Amino acid sequence: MNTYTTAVSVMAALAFSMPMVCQAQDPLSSLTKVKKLAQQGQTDEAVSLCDAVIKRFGGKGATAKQFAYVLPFYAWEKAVAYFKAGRYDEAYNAFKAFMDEPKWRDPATLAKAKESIPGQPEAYEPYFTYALFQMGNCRYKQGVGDAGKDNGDKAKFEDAIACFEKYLGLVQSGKVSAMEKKLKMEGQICFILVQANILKATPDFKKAAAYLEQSRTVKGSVPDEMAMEGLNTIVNVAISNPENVGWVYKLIESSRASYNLDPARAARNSNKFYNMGQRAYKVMEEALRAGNDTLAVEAARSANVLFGLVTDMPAARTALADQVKSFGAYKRPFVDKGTGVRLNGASSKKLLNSYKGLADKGTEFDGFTVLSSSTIAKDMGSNRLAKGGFQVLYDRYPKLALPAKGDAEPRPLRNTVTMQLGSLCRMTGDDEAGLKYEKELEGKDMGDQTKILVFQKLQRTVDEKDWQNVIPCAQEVIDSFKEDKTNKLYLTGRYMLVAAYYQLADFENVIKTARELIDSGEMKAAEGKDALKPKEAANYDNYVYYFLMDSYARLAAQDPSKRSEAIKVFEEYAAKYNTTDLEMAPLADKMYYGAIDQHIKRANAAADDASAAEDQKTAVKYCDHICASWPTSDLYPTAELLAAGILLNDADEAVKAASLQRLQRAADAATKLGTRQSRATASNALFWLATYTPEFPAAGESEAATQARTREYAERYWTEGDAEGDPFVLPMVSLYLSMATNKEEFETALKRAQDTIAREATYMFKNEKSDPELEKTINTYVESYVNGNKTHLNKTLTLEEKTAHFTNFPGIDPADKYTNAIFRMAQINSMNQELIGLKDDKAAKEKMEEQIQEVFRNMTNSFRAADLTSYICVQVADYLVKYVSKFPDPSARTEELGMAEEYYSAVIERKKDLVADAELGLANTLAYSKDAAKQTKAAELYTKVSTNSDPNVGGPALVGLTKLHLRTGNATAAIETTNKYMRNRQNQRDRLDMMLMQGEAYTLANDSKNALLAYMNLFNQFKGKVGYSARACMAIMEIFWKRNNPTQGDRLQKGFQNSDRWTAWNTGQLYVDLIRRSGVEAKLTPEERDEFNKVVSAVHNYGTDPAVMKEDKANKEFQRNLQSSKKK
Amino acid sequence: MKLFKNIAFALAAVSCVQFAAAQQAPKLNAYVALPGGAAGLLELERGDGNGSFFYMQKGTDQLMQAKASACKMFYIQTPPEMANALREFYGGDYAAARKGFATVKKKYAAFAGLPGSPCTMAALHEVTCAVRLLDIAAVKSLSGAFAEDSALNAADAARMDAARVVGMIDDNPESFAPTKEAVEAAMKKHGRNMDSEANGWLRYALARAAAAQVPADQLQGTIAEDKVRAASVAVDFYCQAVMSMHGSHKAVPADALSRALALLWAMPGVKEYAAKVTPPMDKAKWNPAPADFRDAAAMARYIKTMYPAANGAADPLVDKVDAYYFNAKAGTKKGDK
Repeated sequence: MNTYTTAVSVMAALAFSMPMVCQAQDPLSSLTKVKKLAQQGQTDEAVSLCDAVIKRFGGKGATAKQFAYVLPFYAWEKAVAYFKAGRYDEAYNAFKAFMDEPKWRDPATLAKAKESIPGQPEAYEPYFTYALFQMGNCRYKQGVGDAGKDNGDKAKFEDAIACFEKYLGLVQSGKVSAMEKKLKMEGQICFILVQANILKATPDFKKAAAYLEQSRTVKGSVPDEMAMEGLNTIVNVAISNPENVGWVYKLIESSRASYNLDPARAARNSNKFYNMGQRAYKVMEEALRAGNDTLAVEAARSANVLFGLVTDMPAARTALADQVKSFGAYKRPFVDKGTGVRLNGASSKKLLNSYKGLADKGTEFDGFTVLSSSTIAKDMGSNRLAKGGFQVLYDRYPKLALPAKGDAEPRPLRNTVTMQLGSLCRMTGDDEAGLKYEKELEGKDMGDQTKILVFQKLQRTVDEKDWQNVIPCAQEVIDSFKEDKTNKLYLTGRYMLVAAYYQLADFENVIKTARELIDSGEMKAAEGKDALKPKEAANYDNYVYYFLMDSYARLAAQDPSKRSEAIKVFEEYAAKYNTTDLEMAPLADKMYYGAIDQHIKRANAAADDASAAEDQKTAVKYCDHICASWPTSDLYPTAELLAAGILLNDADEAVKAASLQRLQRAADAATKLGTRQSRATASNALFWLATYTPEFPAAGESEAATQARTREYAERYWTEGDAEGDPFVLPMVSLYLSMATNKEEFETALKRAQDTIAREATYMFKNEKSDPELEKTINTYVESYVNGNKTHLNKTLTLEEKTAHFTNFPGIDPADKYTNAIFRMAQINSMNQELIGLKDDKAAKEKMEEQIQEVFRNMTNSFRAADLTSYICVQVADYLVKYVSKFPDPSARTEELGMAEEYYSAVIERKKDLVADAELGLANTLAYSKDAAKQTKAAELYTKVSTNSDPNVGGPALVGLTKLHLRTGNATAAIETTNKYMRNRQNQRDRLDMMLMQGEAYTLANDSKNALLAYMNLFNQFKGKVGYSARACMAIMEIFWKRNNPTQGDRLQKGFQNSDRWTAWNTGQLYVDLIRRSGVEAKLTPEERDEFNKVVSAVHNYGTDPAVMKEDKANKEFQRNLQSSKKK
Repeated sequence: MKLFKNIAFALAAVSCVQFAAAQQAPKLNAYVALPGGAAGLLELERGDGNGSFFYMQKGTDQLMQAKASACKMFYIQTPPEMANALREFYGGDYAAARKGFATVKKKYAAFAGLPGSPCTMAALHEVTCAVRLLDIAAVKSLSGAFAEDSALNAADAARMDAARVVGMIDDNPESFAPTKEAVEAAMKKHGRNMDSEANGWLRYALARAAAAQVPADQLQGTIAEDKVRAASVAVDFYCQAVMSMHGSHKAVPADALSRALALLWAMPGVKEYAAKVTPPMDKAKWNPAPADFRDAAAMARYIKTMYPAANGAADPLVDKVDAYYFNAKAGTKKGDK
């Protein structure tokens, strides 16, 4: 132990100086022999001799008295002999015995010794205190054990510390000999105490730190080298038990001046400081991974403090060069008396050369320190600090290289630094700089780093979700590692290629690359640190299967045959991963779920019931598999829900009823999961439960109980399923409103409906969404509100009250034109319902119509086309056109027509819903104009829409076109249009209008024959449709009346024909009689009655014509005669 | 010895009064090996400001002069005041050390220009203390007043120039261009002789100049889009300064980190994200966080770890932001990315 050899050797010198005196007389010469024996390892002999001398001269005789002053030296040498032999217990006891022996302390004996030994005025007196030091030394040796062997008895350190501390106390209080004082041992004793406190069974770092600091300040302070050795010991011990790593920084920070040295001195220890810092960093790294943040902080701080002690190498070289210049020529070491620093020119020169050599090889401790500091910062999550470090490395350490072993060349770090810097630039959002550094590396051979660089490029693109660039990067990784196909980076490249195509929705390429990967069989675990672990391989493989199946599923939207491919992929997967262990088949539940989806979709589009049933059966089977295998999976509730959804459509009522239990389980499990997604599942399940429970009451359950249970589901819906934007929330509002059976329930439902409608409308308004369901729900609400007030609150709302409620609906933003317009429209619909109920009350109907028109006009004032849904736009505009049509000259109503045009045009421009309806409406609007250009535009639109396969627009378009031709006097075109319509057997909704107009068209063309045929065609087939038949009848009567052919032939002869006028009258007369006798007249609508009365009136007028009356009399007389002749 | 005799004769003309004054002035001991002589302890009377020193010839009252560079050995023993100041300096008590160095600088001014002169070294250390205390005004005046660059070694001369750049810090929005110019000039002049700490000072000065372009009131709210670039550049320079100094002392890195944290915390989207999440953080909250948010939290943890209350009171922003820190490495294995 060279740590205290200085003290020991000095004291030994003190002891060994004695024989020079003793040798002059016997028994003094024996002491020399003792020493010699001890040196030769003959300890027992040396001890025996000592004992013998002490025994021989320890008596009371004169001789004994003469030599008594020599005996303490023998007692001391005995202890020394034991110590030298490593027999520390015996040595300890011998030193203690020396110390405790009263004989040696006899003043006369001691005085004689002092007197008898020239130049040694204290004789053996120093041993009385120094023995304590040696006792500590014995225990210390026992604690340490043999060099290189871990056989020390750490318990001995406690006694060692006690001895040393006691001795230090004596030294510091001046209670030691002058010789000991002269030795200035305080620093060294402190230093031994540092080590003893560190090495004992439970290290006491605090005391060690205090003694280390003392060792640098007290008399005889230890030199730098020794202090560093102590520091090294502390760090080694502290780091060997990472929990103590924090003592490193505490120690250094509490005595910085001892270690924070000038560059030349620090240069001697930079390597050590750096290595110790690295060890602390390793502790930090492990602590971070273990999630032990407290230890990580302690270790990081210790590393930082140690790195802070590493000197800057160029500064050190400059300082060393200064020293060499200053005293390099001086061969001997000397001490700076001011600082106590020992200076050595040769040592400085050697170190300078060493530093120069290191610099030539790129070994720069300060560079490594910056590198390690950056790594610490990165590990702690600070990319900015790490980037700062790498920027410093890039700027200042272009030649930095890792030292190599033996004769190998150092490994330059330039490219690694550049690569890291580029990567960190990108991570911190500076893509421009990132690219600059990446380009710098292009084409550079970086050995193994090249591959890593290529992989990191892939990582970056993945991190940035730059999927387009992931593809070439992944390909590059694949190419780089193609010789090492079990390497996880190679397999990651292959996986990312598939994943990137999937992210880009390039499903054809997903299928291609995924299939290639699966078929290659390469995605598997292997041995070695560079290979995938079994779970990692399974994870990648599962995703590849998932991407493949889902890609087929997505393509099935266009090509249904792909759905079967998706199902095949699943079956392949299920055969390969025949396990329910999600560790080894991490996507198994999701794959089953995907397969269920595909089977359901295939069933929905199946050409025959049998295959549909088969698919549904399989889907339910897979649902059952999920439910049985992964009851805690987040897909469990959904699986129950899907199965229930299928079974609710089963023909067997018992199966349907049983499915409600699955819905119940779905709702319960989803609520238990408590995620946003599971809430959606709960919403669906509870909505269905509330809908279907009344249909499938439990056996023996009363109606009231079923009703209560249904209501319970509805209430659960509001607490467990309700969510903004949930697709079931608006239908649930309607259902909930319909459940109200009394005043209280009605008011609760109303409040819930108001809040929910307002919330959903606001949600849509803020997110610029529209949902037809809102319109439906509002319609239901309006109806429920009006009816419920009447039924449950016994209150009939006035129009003003309704308008006030609907135009100031609670919670609806006045700026939300969309919802407000829906309410206004709902109000109109409600009024229309009332209008239908008015039946024959013409006055009331007219009043109601006026009110409806008023609301419409208000709407056109309040809402621009952009505020309204396409549906409402078309509705409002249709109403305007209808309103205008009631005026004698609709073309004069330019304001209304202009508004209608705006609404229709808005819908057309949106190019989404109801475009054909809007085009038809716009054509109707333009057709009213007297402007030829507008009429031409109307004709073009009619023609375009007429080709629409939807009879609801195609037919009316031809009707409108015909009307336009008739209005503009284009008889030929009108005839052609009607004929075209008649030929098209599919568009028959407006057939009666067209038959009428066909007659009008021929009439316009002065083709009374064909006109008559057209009208007769309608009249004969559809007499019951009085609205049309009456008008056809009138037209026929007018044509005959106008043609006015006289009677032809003799009544008694074949070929007799009555006059046209009589025929006109008679046609009408027969028709009127028929309508009246058949009871149809009683059911006529006011409009029909108007038309019918026109015929009645014409019949009266024509019948009072004298010529007609005369002919009719003749006809009747002829008939009477004919009948009487037959009787005869 | 010819040369010394000549000088001794020349000095014979020095007046008695001057000689007496010189005798009263503080002296320095040095190990000197005069040309042709053996090394020994010599009492130096003073220097001439140009690398020569005066001493009394042993056994005479003859004042001799010699050039330090001509001596085979020339090492000035550290005077006690300097030793004390150095101990305080290395112990991190820069305020006390600075006073001590100022005393040494004044007391041993007569030895300025000699190699290893306590006066010159004290002046250099005084400037270093001022930088480490972030007393910019003092740095400016001390480094500006120092006119003995030629007596410094290459590393110390570079350090003095770096201090002069630090003295330029005035937090003026227009200061970036001149600071950058001065930094580039210093780097070009000294190259790799600029030590890590001095290099950190240069980057710190650049960071302050870049940060000055961001109005102070924006740090309380959100940095405007047109200032984000300057803020980001400032953060990067602060980080470079911290890393370059790699824990060698505390005040400047701690200040740099504190300023960088304030900038990061005011970056667009950072406070907004903080308002959305409630600590403690977990993976789900951490991963989608903006990069600046994560860097701010990591920097707060770094400050708390490495420089807790390094500049006196703890920065309240550090505790606030540190609450959002998440150890993303927890649960990972070695080699995991």
